[in-house]
Amino acid sequence: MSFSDAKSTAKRLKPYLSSVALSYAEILFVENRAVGILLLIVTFINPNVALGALLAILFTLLFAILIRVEPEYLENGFFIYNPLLVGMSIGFLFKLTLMSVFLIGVASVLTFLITVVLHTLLSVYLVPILSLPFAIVSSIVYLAALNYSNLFVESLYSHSFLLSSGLMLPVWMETFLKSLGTILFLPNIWVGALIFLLLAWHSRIMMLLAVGGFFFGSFLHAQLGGSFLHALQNPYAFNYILVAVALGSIFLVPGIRSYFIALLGVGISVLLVDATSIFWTLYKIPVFTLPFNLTVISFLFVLRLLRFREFAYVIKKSPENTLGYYLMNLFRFKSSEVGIFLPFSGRWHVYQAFDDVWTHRGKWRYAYDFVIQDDRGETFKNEGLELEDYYAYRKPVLSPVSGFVVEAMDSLPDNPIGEVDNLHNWGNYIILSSGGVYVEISHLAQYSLKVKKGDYIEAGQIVALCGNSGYSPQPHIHVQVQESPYLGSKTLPFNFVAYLGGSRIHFHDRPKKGESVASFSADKSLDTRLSFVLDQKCEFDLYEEGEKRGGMTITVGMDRFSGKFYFEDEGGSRLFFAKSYGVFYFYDFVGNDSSYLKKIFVAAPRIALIGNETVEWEDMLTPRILFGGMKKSVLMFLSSFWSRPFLYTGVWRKEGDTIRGEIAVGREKIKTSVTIDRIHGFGSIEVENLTIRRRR
Amino acid sequence: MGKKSYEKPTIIKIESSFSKAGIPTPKQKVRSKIAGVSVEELVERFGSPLFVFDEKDIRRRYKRAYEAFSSRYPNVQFGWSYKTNYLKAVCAVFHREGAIAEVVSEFEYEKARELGIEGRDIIYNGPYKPYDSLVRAAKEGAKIHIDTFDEINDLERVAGELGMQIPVAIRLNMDTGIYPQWSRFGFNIESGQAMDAVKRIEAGGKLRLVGLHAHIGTFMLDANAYKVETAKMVQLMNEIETSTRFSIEYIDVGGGFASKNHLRGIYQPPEVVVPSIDDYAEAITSALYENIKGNNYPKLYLETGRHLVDEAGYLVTSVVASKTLPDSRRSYIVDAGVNLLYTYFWYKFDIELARPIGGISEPAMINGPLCMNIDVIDESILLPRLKRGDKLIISPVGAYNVTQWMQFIRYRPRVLMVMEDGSVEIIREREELEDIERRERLPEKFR
Repeated sequence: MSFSDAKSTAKRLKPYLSSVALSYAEILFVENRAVGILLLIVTFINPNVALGALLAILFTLLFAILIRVEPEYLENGFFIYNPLLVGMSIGFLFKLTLMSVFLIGVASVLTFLITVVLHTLLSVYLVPILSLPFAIVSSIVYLAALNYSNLFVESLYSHSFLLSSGLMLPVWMETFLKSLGTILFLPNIWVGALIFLLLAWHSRIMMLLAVGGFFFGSFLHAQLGGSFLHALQNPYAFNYILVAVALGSIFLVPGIRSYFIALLGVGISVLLVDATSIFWTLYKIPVFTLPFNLTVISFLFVLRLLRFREFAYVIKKSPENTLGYYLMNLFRFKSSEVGIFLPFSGRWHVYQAFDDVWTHRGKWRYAYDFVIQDDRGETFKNEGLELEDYYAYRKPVLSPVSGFVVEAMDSLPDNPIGEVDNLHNWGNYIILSSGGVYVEISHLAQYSLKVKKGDYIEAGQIVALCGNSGYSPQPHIHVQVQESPYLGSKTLPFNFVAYLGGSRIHFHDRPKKGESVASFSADKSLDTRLSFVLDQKCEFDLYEEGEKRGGMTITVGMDRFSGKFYFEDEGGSRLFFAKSYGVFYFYDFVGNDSSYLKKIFVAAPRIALIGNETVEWEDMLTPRILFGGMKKSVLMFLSSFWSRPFLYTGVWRKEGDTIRGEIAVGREKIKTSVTIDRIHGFGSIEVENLTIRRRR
Repeated sequence: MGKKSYEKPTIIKIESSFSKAGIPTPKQKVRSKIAGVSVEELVERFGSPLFVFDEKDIRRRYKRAYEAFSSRYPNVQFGWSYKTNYLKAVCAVFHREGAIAEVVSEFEYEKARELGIEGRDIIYNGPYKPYDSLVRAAKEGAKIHIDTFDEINDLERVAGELGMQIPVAIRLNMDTGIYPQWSRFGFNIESGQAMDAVKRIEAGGKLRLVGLHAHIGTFMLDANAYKVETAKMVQLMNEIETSTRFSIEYIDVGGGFASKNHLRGIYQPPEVVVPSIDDYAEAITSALYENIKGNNYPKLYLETGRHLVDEAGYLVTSVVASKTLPDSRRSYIVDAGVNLLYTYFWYKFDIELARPIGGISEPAMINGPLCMNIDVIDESILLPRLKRGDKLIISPVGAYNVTQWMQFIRYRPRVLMVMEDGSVEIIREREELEDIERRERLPEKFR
């Protein structure tokens, strides 16, 4: 085989190798290849376990090739994880002989099959399968192995060489470390210590949960069983660790509520460990991770159904990152509720808000009514006796969402002032569907619909004119978000994505009754200048205190799985951005703390693409974006308990093409400034004494 | 609403004479106060004649117009038409309200900059823009609206000189069904000239087309003409965006909205013939919605001048002499003449008394102080017998007069502004000899 052949083979194999490494790391809920490789090497303390795992992976891959599974699917790697554990468990029980290798082969194929079956079933409910296939198949293998006396004679071996450390550690520490090691089928203090260090390095939150889970579970067990020593030495105590980490930090966003659920989960798993161990031991099968799987899957299943707010819909590389992303979404984008745009142009007045005195009550409490007022505080000119006197009458109603028209009608007459239509309360209306919810707008003018049922419309497009049909004492726009496409169905709370109250832009906020709000749409010039095309490169010079410190090149890229756009620097760090309906914003950063991209995030987390007026807005940053290194880690850890004090609010003010910000950090203020270039992109970015200037 | 209590009617004698047709003419028109300040007091304090502007009214008109458009279309920007009235204070009121500047010469450009308006907030129109002014405007990021092919050449040279791409707009003309068609400005749409200009700009590669501009006429009494104009502009925008790489960021539909002034030669009163700002807004925005694809909304610029300021300006003048003409009409000579009232050529002004004056009204003529036969402010008006020193208030005179007035044989008078809080400010002093002679040079031998 020539060198180039070898090289191309290596290239073809690379994704597989990388997914194998990731699968190892995945056992500890860590997404890091280096960690995976380290763990792989560590398993060679017991070569049987190590080789058993590798063989299982090999057999699985070969089987996948046999049945022609798409290579892309193989690269994904989630299904390697379970066979890997099965291989380890067999290697843990039996020495590698021809027969045990055969057993591994058969078992790993079975694991693969069960993985696919369970995954397909559970993915309907968007719940992970964890190591359930492993728990099932390993039990089957151990159960079957009872009959294989031949195998026992030849392959059973003792692990005593692993169990002793030669150190005199306190029992609580020794048992904890061994438990950690057991996760890798290596009940060894040194392995446990290594895993502990890895967790501590990767995430303080996970480390804390591992410790808390283990001792809380053992404590409960001891209380019930009467013996602390016994409880600590329970070989299945590692389940408590897994449950605590999985519920407290991986699948739920770290936080007090999640920690509490994690402890509850640990309690439940104590019960499960004891119950299953009695039953399983009868047949000499170890409990494996069954308690962990049952506990976590049941919790996730229910929480997912409830749309639990702290459910980690986006799982990042570490719990700290998941938390950072979640907090960012919750506070910056109000991810917990629906956001729509104002359904009109210009400045209008809130006539009724949520839970209001007249009609916004009961199941229709989440609705807004808007009218136009003049500086006298009146909604009409002249005497207000004619419909035409009302400022709102026949003004355009613009779509508050992008979506399909599911219902619309405009045949009812506009009531003369002083009359209301009690028979058709909703008047002429339109119902739009968008992202699983429905938006209803009422009291449209007769024969004013500009769209029809089935049309797809963009937010901001004209749909009809404001009128006075239905139960409407004066021309106004009524808008609500509801749970079904039927007229009069239950309303849901919502916010307005962006609007102007005076010169302050509110993002994802709700104006109060009596306030006046104005809509804005993207200034096309700003919008064009902040449009970034794939593979576009921008070069910047860096200055600190006015002195040149080198340069950087930013490339526009797109994530091939999610289709999300980002800026990437030479170091491979990525700053994710998006632009929608008049707002340009950064929402995620992945990479190196020292990357200057992070500074760009800080300088202008969000830019309202509003043309000429001078406007200002508030935004929030998490410690993950604002700081680096140890400070970031500690603050993110603390914000998992109480996030508010660790969210930093800043005010940004846009005058023309310049956006100046001030972020309050304790008593200090971080000053930032961003200039949008007259032709394209960013002209300069300043954060404190750092200046990033576009190279021409 | 409670029931209104009964009020005993009062019977008042209608004081009227009869016109030739036997129809009673309206009773005396009296305006004792301007923006809440007594006219007599103004003259006492500041002399006569006086131009008076009402800040509150300007703001009210602007807000009303802005609201009419912004409540119909999400992306609206007004540009204050300097030529309509470029007194600093008046411009400042509009700028405070949020209007940018629309200028048509390097002189107006400099005025806007002097007022602190940044280049990017200036629309630079006009058929002649001197080269140096183009360089400055390009450097400062002004919105330059190209009028001719020659100007494309000039701007490309500027772009080369400055080493930058210049964003520009082109001015268009078109048939909107009105007469006269203003075809001497910009590029014609129907003949294909406009598209030729776009292609020429694209081929040159030094300019980037970002806007379209048109101005179909002045004192437009037909709102529908704007609907036709806007539709044609958006259709051209769609064509440009599909056939070239330009993205049109704004559409400037110009100005020309009428004020409530009585045009000469039109019989009906302005209240009947002049469309409301809502009519104009409806025409323009409905054409936008009907022709724009999706929610690709360009910014809408408006250069409304007259409509926003004409009715907020008054000229207070005093009777200085009177006589009976041979045809038995009274002739009143007042201290302000047509040199101050350029719009006299189009309008029949509203002329009001500062206080009610007893006696029957009689046919009269109002003459200015110029020793020229054309100095006639009103040829035929019914007035009670006026004495020397009686004041007349002439309106609307807020648009064009204080930019196109002539000094001629008299000093131009003071201009006042009644501020929002009711105080009165002089916004332009009465001229003095020195102002006029400052620029003159007397050759040595005549000294």
